[in-house]
Amino acid sequence: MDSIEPILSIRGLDAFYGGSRIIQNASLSIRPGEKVALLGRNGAGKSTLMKSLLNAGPRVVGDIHFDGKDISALATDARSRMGLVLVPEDRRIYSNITVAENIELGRHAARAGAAVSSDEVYDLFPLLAPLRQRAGYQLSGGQQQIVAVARGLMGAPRLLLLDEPVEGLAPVVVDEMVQHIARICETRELALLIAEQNLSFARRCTDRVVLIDSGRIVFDETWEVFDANPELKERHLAV
Amino acid sequence: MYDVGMTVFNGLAWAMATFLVAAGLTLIFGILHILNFAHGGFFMIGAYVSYTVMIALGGALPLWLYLIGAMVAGVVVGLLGWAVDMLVFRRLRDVDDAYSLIATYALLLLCGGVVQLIWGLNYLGVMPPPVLNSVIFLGDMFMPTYTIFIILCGVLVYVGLELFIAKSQTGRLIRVVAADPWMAQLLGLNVKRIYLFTVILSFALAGLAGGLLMPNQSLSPELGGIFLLQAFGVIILGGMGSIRGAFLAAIVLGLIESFGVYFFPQYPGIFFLLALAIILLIKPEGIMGREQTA
Repeated sequence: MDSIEPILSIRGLDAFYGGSRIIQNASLSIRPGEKVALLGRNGAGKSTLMKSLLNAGPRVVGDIHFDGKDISALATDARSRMGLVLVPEDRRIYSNITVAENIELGRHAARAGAAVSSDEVYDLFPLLAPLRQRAGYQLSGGQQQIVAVARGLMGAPRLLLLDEPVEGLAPVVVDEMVQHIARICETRELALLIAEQNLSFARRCTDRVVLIDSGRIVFDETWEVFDANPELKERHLAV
Repeated sequence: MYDVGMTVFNGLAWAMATFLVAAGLTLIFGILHILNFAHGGFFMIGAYVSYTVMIALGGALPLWLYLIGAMVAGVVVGLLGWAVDMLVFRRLRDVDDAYSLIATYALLLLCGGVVQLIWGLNYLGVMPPPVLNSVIFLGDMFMPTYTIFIILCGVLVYVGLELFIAKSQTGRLIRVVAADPWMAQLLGLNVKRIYLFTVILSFALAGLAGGLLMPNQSLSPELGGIFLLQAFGVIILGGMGSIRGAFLAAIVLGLIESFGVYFFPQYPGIFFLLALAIILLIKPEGIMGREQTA
């Protein structure tokens, strides 16, 4: 057993929408600085699991510890302010304010003394500088995604949850996102959980694979073990 | 010229008195999406509170004491708003709209009951402060200073609210929460607290409106309903939730009502409803329906 305290650990977690149980008995732990991919088919429960961690949608039963503390009774905003930051799949850029204002909003999640300067964020994403004064509704899908990630970083996350960050993006933009994420991991000390359907993107950004199928976590190992068992892909990811 | 001038003046008086009541109503709808039927009830409580303050201070008061009475009403009703958010509105956030209609209607009845218990059924009233109890002549026109004062108050409240929502840090956060509360909480914003602040502000505006409009009114437990109807007309026409829309709609409906009464003096109160119905048939989303200010 590893001696490092996990930054996130969940045990026996169930999540419900209405009467239906979407996530069943999930257990998972992530150590500080770890990069983990959460893979699964459409509807397997990737987004639901991520939202469950923040109490941002489904009704959740089970144990969630973040940074050694039981957070299962905390409201969403309080969890964000602890450094558990979700960049949702639909990006949710505020359309009527500028890019700079959107990014600045992310600062509300930052813990006292952990603030990230906006210069730091613009250094990480040089693409953003010329867009600063543009309104949210004037962005392309790829630009929106970058703004969403930059906004998440402003909250000085200790665990950053990215829900399908390259969904619908052109291959060139996906490559850029890989580089962005590598840069983030170099410059900031954070753990990463990326929900993805894009295998090659996930592989390039992470070093561990968690497979989720019909709401159950069915595999949790390194990419090497994943590659050594090609039937996993067939059984849990093939459409 | 005399008639046109006076009719416009009367229209603006109607408009700004109504806007004072409608401002808090449209604010709370724009941010929390709660249609607060009780707003008129809390407006009425504001009027009674300020009446009590004025009577306690000795009746015919100088302007500044009258203003303090209205502010006290704003503060008291704002505090009631705090209680209402904690006890009622907070429970309405994730349930069907029908529940908030029933709950806020129940609150309106409760307001009427409380007023009867504390102040009784008799008509009460006080005169405006002496400065506001005179008339200014402009050519042929005679304009009561109290009416001029109410028009000014309406404009001030409108400009103040617009500036607050557009420029202040809190106003910006209110707009962010109104646009997407789910994302706002993910960004670490305390959405509950911003809602609470909005409710208190909306109620305080109702109380202030009650205090300002109280002189020249007969206070009775039915007062809540009268202004509420006009205020609802104004925020529906303005585009639900828009402050600017409510302001413009109040002026449009006020002028129509005033000219209607000028030509057909036997039918007061009909023209604003007629105009409301006709305009909504043509433009169902209201004046600022597309672009919600708040």
